[in-house]
Amino acid sequence: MSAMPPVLPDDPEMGRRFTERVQSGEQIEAGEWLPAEYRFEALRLITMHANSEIMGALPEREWIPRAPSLARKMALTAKVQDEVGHGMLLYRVAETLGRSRDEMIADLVAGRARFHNVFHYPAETWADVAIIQVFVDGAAMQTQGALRSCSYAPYSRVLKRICYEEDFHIQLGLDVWRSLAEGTPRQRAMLQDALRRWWTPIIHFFGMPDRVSPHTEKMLAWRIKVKSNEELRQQFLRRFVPVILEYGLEVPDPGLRWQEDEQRYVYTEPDWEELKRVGRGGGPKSAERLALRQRFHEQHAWVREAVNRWLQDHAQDAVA
Amino acid sequence: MPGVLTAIADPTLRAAFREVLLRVADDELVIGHRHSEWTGFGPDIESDVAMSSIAQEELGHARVFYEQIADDEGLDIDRLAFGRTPGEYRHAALLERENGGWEFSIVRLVLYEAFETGRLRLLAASGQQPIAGLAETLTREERYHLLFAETWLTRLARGAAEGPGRVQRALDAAWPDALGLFETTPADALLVAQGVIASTPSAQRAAWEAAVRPSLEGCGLRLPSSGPREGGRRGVHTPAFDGLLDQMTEVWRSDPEARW
Amino acid sequence: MTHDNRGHDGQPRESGDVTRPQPAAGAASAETAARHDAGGLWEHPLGAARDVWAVFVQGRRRDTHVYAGDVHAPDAEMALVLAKENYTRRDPCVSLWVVRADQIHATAQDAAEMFVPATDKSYRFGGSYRQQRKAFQSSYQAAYREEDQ
Repeated sequence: MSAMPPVLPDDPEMGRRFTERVQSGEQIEAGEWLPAEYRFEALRLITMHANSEIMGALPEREWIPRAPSLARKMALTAKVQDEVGHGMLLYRVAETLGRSRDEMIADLVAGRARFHNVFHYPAETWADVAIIQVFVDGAAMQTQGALRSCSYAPYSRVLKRICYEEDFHIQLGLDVWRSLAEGTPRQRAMLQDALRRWWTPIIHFFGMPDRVSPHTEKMLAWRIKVKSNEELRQQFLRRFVPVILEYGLEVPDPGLRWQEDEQRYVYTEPDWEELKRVGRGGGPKSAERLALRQRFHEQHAWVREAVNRWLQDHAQDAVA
Repeated sequence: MPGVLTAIADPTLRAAFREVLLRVADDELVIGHRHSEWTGFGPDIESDVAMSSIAQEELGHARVFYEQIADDEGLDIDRLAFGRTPGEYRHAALLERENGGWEFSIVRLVLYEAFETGRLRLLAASGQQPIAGLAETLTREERYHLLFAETWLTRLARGAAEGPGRVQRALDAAWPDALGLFETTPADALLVAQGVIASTPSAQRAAWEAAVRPSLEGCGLRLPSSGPREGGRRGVHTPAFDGLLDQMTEVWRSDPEARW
Repeated sequence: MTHDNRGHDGQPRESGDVTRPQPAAGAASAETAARHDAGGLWEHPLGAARDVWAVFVQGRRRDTHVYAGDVHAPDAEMALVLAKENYTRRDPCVSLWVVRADQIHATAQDAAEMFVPATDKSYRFGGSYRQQRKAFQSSYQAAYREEDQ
């Protein structure tokens, strides 16, 4: 779903009134009339988010069986469980915009759908868990936090719940981070190395600085986009670079510098081509993770069929 | 409150009770580990989430039992959970089997949860505090585990074309290992003789079979007639456990003294 | 499989039930058509696939059941089993309700104006604050006892 399919043009009067409502701060509920482009863009945003929660479980869940203590084992299982749960909530929001969950998951598993760049990378060591839980979740928090004031009410409500739970994740992540940062030389080295490997994907996560374009303007006017990519990236750097420095670790970008006069960070321009490649499924772990999803999806096909048959047999239960 | 083991004066009785506590803890750790492997791979998102909770609860139960031993002996709990050789673990083979298909995990859940509920009830009636009280509390969570398992079992075993056959095969595969849950060692006889555990292992097995029979036969399944496969209670495990233990302790072993 | 189930106004409805065909747009089928009155659209079925269940959580015995979200499930029992772990992991709960989401009817956003009073309704609130204070300072207040609570 990369370009909006051709549709009948919207009633311009309804479109105008809709934009007015959104711009006056109103939120739109499920079932209300939407401009076709609004529906398309909202669905694209929310589906990608849902897909990312489901695919995002994969790098971290590799470490559940290997978590180095009972406490970490339980906490990591709970954390990844939350992500899967977020996927559930988000697919439901996407359903209110007109797609079925089965369709969206089929698209994801078939490699036709997109998910965030960060989840195309390997989680090579236990320390990667700390980096993902602090910095990747921290990055996602910036975007999700801003979108709490988006115009689509079902998404806005779910994001509030997601942000509430992500807060716990970051706390847990900081605990793992601390254990490693204050631990043995080997643990510190493992942590620094993980940070180094994840740095560019995290900077990429927020996307290229927005082009000034009618499209971006429209997304902002409709509050499908609330803050610009660069604003969110700066927010992230302001909050999380101090965490790195506080523990005496090195920011992997030697060109990263705080500009007091501009109140922003300058950083080494990352390779945006890599982001584009990864986004299209060309990341180091893209194929492997898709294959893994496909394998389980196929393995469970008979279960889905059994459940569907049960659903049909009981469809008439307690129907008024 | 002092640990349950400290309160047992007789050293032979204490050793026997310790063995049972370790069995429970190891059973729960290993099944918790296996259930946690479903995280992200369940047949539907909601069941994925539910199974993940069950995994966490089993690990939490393991922790309760390990704590009794660890506190009594001044051991680090993670060293107790992760630091033994394969032969020192006392769980039954049923729990270390790889997850396989969803139907196997569900069948295993039904069989194990019925067993665990029975075992916790016996511990709750043992009079040995604080374990008796703790065991009573844990049955609340086991109730949900069994409910989840039975709800799924029905929908698989009484559902579409492939379901009944697959579930029956899973039951046939799991049955000998399930009977292995009741494998006895001298500790069992001693605990029954001393009135700590109210029911002999063979009586426990009969009660368990009476409990699972209606669920299984109610789904059109046939109870297998195969005999038990044992060894776990004496530390004899299958190759699956070597792989499990290696993976589970990989990071911890890289530095057992470190704080993770 | 494309879902071409359009609602009354030509807008794509939420993805429909896999087992029951959706009524054609404009169908007069009483149980599924949205209702218009003189002011426009006033009520409609919430619209959801057959396997979507709305979940209501009762936090404590004296609380009402509050809507928490939805689950996909083949039947009510499974919906309850799944709702427990999907919606009450961090919140207190003593009871859950589930109901098929497609059984829920809703007033339309267009009808929101009907809920906004057009005239003074203070008679529902015991009059003005000053009047309330005066009433309480009377023998009614004087006769109050702890055990009346």
